[in-house]
Amino acid sequence: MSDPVIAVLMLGVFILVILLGFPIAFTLMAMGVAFGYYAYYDPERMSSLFDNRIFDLLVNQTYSVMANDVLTAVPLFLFMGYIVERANIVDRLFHTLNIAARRLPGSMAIAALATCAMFATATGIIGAVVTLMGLLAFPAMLKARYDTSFAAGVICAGGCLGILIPPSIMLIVYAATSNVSIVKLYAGAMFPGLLLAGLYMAYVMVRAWLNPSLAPKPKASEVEDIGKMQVVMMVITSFFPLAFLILSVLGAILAGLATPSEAASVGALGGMFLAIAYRVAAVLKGEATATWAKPGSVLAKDWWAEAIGVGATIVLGLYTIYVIIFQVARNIAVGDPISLEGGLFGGPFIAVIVSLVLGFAVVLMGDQISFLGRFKPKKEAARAMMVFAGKGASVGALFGLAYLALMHSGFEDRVSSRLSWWSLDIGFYVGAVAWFAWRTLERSVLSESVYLTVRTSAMVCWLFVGSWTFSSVFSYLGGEELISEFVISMELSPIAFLIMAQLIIFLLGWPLEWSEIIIIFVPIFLPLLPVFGVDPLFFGILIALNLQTSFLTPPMAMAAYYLKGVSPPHVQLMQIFKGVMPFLSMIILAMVIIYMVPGIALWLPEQIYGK
Amino acid sequence: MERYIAIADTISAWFGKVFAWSIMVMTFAVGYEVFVRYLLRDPTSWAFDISYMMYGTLFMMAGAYTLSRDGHVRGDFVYRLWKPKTRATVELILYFIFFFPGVLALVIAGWKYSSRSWRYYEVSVMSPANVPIFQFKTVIVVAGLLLVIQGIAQVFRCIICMRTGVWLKPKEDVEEMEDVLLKQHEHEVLKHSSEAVDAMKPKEDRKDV
Repeated sequence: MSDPVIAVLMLGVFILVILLGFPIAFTLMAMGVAFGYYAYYDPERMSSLFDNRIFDLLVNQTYSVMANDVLTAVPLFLFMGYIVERANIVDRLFHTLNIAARRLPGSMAIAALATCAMFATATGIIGAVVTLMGLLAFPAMLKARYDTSFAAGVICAGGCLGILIPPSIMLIVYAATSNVSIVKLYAGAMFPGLLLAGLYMAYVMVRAWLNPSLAPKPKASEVEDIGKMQVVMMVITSFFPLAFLILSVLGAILAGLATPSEAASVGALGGMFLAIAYRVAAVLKGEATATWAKPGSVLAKDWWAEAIGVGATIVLGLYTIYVIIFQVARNIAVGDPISLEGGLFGGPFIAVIVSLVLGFAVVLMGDQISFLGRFKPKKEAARAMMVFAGKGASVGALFGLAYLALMHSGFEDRVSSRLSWWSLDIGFYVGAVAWFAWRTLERSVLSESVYLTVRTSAMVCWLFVGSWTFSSVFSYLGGEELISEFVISMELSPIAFLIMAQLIIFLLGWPLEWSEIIIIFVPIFLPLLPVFGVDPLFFGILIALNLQTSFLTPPMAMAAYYLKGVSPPHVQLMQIFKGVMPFLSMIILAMVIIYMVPGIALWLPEQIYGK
Repeated sequence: MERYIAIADTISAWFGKVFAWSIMVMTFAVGYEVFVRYLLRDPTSWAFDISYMMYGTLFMMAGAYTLSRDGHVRGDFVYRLWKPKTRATVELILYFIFFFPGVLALVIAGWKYSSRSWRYYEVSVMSPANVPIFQFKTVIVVAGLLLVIQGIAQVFRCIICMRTGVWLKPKEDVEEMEDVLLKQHEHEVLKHSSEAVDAMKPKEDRKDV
């Protein structure tokens, strides 16, 4: 047997083995090693059984996955997603959007779609979005006498948008396999994502308008009577934070400011901030309980910490407002870079002293002077939070002082930077924020997110370890060339090739999940792209659109199964599939539109990064 | 055998969970880098090295933990239709064909690779900060060994399942949101249609539903 035939055999055996259901990452690794041992077999190098270059290849491929700078963004985005998922943001979001959209035809479906899209974008975890929305929006729609299929289709399709709209994990994985720049992919996926979401919206509205029985208008008695101002407030508190998080992550990437992993870590920090903010708000309103917020949990001897905490909070609040108004405004208007020092007035230590004076004044004299008393926290929970901040600030300040002493005592022989004079202030405020965050964040949310992040990253990245070993052996044996020659000999036109490739991916999506398709099967097509003059970026966007169907088509329609799992017993799987069908045709329509007008995908990356 | 499985699960979970926290180190390190680079125009020389090392360590170390929780992706559209006994038999054979050879090769090759690196205390070439990376290369060996330990436990699981017909589950752990919700929902359906169920089943049976 010649080598290329062995390579084809390798691929055939692999496809058969997939059917047996063994974890694919290890199958790939073992098959790569076994066939590689044959491929690199060299009779002169047989001093021991392990003297074969396949072992070097295996470990080098493993190491290149471990040190891959594109894949570093995977765990960070996953972490951001899990934190947001567990922060109880989604029910408020749906409630708000439902009220805000009440005048549109099919308002509840629109609200569900928008919530799904935003939540899926922020978390990228399709199962979670579909089940959560299936428990939240689906019963609400059924109660409002929506058609079952229609409502089910909205939730399944909306939940899958997360793999297309950036920042999606799928696009990172595609970038790592195809060597297309990830920022360009994100830029390219923006408009197609919006196009698809727009098509869904349009479909829902038109259907609801043509056939009102599918999505009956809520009766006047069922709509909560809420004033305009209140709606605006609800939108600001529940819609904007998440939108801001998504937009800042995307904006940072698209403006060329940060690399994806930098943007992802900012996103993860933002997610933690959101989780803390929502939690603090819930505890203050009494909607959630916390052990530290029970009556009597603030001890009288902690009054000093409370005072420091109050002072630190007031100064930090004022400083934030100052930065937002002056620095950001100036940055936008004049284009000045934001400089930290320009934002701090006075010299070092001033801010700490102001904090201490204000804090002690408020706590000690708040009862006599009514103006100061206004700033004094009254609820037990708020007081407990102030104590956290105060204790953190004290410890941080001690560290800051120690550092300051070390830097300016001549003990350390370095030229101390200007910034080191600020170390007391930095320690004080960082300590306050850090301890406050650590104590108020629900610890279980954090640890659960961390553990799930690590498991999902291991799943994706071990697949890379196996696949890169497998595919380098495969191409060493000449399998890639054989496939190329075969496809070229078919003398397809570019469009026929594109259709064939997308059709194969579509069919693979029936039994397989996106991660397997992107990491294992897409690399087979990639070397063919230049032959047919297809832009790999464009190809990636089409795949991202296409793979939404892998969640929606039976027999492995995960989105439909998740929804079935959480819906009332009378909802049948067939009804869900029936509802999903129109959305599937929307996906295909979107692919056709993008094929006809490639500018939708290619315009933005060209604008930002040039050709 | 059950004992060994429990011990292996604990070891894998311990390593996986401890190194999972490197995601926090990574988040803060890269966050700090963003802060000093874009706001202070004074980038660090070490943040990039930290970020990929933390990423590589966390996913490699979690390989065995993920295996013990059955988190590695499989093409299970035929597999899921089989009875547990059939699954266990097929899987037992496949562990010897497709698991141990690859993983053992990784351990052996990784050993050579990292010992070469230890010999001269290799440092990263990605940045001028001379961040050591020989410990990072050792991760390959450790991750491979953890996989071997956990793989033996999975083999034992298969054997037990072939005997009893029941798959031995790992200890309770965090689960994906969708799994948690699906389970809760199942519970509720059972509770609400309780009249019918109660009539047929004594209460003790429903504990593990």
